[in-house]
Amino acid sequence: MSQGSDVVVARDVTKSFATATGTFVALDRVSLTVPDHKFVSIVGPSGCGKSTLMQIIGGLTAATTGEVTVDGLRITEPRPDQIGIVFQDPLLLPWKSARDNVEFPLALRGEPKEKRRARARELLAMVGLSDFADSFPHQLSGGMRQRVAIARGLVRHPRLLLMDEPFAALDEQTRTRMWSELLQIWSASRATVLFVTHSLVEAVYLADEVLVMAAKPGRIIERLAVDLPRPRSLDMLGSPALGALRNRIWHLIAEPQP
Amino acid sequence: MSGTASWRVRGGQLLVVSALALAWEFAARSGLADPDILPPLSKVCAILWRLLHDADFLADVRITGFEVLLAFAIVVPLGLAAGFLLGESQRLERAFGGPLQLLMSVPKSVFLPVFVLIFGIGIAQKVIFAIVLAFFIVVPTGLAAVHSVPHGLVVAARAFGATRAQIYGRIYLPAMAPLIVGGIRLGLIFVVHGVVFAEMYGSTGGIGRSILGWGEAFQMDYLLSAVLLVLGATVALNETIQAVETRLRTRNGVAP
Amino acid sequence: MTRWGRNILIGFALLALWELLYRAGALNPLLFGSPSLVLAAALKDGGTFLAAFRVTGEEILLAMAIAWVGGILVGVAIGASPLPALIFAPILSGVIALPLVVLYPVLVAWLGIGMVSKIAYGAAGGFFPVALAALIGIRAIDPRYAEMARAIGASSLQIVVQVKMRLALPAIVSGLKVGTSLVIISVIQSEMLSATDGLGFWISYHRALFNTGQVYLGIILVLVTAAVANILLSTLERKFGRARVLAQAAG
Repeated sequence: MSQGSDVVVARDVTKSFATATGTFVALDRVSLTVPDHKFVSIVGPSGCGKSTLMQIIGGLTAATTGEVTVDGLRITEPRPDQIGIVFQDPLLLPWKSARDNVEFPLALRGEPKEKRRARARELLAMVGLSDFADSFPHQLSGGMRQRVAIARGLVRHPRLLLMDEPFAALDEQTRTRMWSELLQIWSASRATVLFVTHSLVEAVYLADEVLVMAAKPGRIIERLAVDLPRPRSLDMLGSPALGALRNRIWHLIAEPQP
Repeated sequence: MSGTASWRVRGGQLLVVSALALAWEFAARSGLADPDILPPLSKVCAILWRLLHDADFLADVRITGFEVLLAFAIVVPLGLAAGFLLGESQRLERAFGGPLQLLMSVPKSVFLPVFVLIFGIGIAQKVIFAIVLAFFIVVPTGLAAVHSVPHGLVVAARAFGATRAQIYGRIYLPAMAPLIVGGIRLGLIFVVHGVVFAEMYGSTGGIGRSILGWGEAFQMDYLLSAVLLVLGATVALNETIQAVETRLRTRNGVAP
Repeated sequence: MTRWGRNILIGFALLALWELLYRAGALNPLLFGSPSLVLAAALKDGGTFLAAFRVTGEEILLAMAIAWVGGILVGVAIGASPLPALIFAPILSGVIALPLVVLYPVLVAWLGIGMVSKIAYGAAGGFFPVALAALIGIRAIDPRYAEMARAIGASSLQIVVQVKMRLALPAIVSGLKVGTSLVIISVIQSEMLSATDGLGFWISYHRALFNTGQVYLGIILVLVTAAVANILLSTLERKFGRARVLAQAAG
């Protein structure tokens, strides 16, 4: 796969449901592309279908019409070798240690113990939790659990990492710290990231590009390039450039769209 | 659950029961099962109908019914009262909670021979055994009922100047109602179980004894008809009381 | 003084009181027996009772195995989808409320008076609470865990066995506890009604002969069986039970 090609290509993805009161259109002909190694965030109000879009790209739900390819592969079911997913809740298995949780996708595939151990050690180091490999989820903080979940998401070397509001349940300070952590992990792993959030600041601060969605029906209304320099630093949070982007998105979301 | 969905559930349950009945009938008639060992359901129902007009059988039914009613009338008020007392007093609960738990987990049926030794095989041992069996289920229910009253409600009522009688009548009773009915239901179930078992073990009358007798004489059609009657009656009673229980629960806003 | 120490002391005190009342003639020995009568019975018929203990134990263990495995398999299978779960849950709980003892003579007619009918009856008694608990346990788990497992590439079988059943384990274990106690009660009851061996049988046999010592010896052995089962299951519950998992999840 040559550099600069698109990892994710979604074409006219539509998701509709039949309800008692008629047809509900969650996503209306959504198309997007995500270039290799890029960090793209999706932001929008509640009900705009961003989580549904994430589910479709991840192969957890089927689109009504349209198609999604990841790494050239048509997505109709979960593809753990190509796509890693991090949910809002870390969903770590409570009876497994951090290491065992990270190893779990490899264990399911039947990989030998030594290989699993080595890979888990590598990833726990990447997320900064080497000292907590034997800890259980109830012994870890919310941020640490989410880091384990990220390690688990990356354990099969996926091209794409999907993240569905992973920091929404964390308090503000932990969340800000996790931004720095995530950007470090991203640059170390060189994965492509598609990141869903409802926080405008988070969407801009983390990403190379922000896709802005609107609701009723769910669709992408704008694609904004984020030209803040990399690596990002936390003092950029107060910069006018970030503020301007944030305001632009806010207006897009707040005003009624055609 | 929505109205439309619940008919699917009810329909499904009806389907299951009908399927079992049909399977029984088919197995017996087609020769899949020896009809001497498993007479067809239709034949069993016919015999049940005949039995319900038979004086001796009805006498047995009356005996069993009387024992169940007597034991029930004694154990439910007694058990609930004991449960309330334990629930109200932390001291009593701490003192008797442990022994109660212990006695609950003991297989009490093994003591029936002792009851027979003491009381013979008349009505007394059956009723007393049923009471003992049901007692240790009803008491914890009464205890739980007392604990289920939201303390905040009582405090609020007192703050509004409610009298003791008003608090008991207007707050305690309605709040405890579903669990009390639950205790009544469990009490009835365990009393039926106790009476029937005691009749089967050592008795001069009652349905249980007839059931055991028919079994020993290998009269499968009579045996199965009596079994059907007992199980059917228990299901009917259980479902009726449970319906009341569920209605009280939803009225209180507690999840069923 | 530890709680165990205190309980043992109370136990001894009660035994002493029992013997005292017997010696004083306050209790009818035919009805209430005494520790010394039990001891005499043990010396005289100990062999028979130990053999009976083994028979009863075997029946209980086999019935438990059938009830546990069958109950878990059926409960998990039904609990896999919402509609069957809603249909069968009330049916299962309805059956648990029934005096299944009336079915025992039917089983004896079909399976004979030996161990088989007792194992079958015991298994039937234990099956329904286990199945119900497994059904409820599987239904109650957070569906997002299954979604996460799908996302990381687990097959349907792997999801059920490695994720769902493990998450439902506390509920299943509490069902196993209830099921086992019902198995024990059922086996003992069946031995008391129609049997040729087992503790229930010998207790009834000696009751008819007014051998009160033997009757109480048998009762004590039954209580010991129940106590052992209770301890084993409580250990199981402590290891996999609700409190532990909640503590882990809450963090």
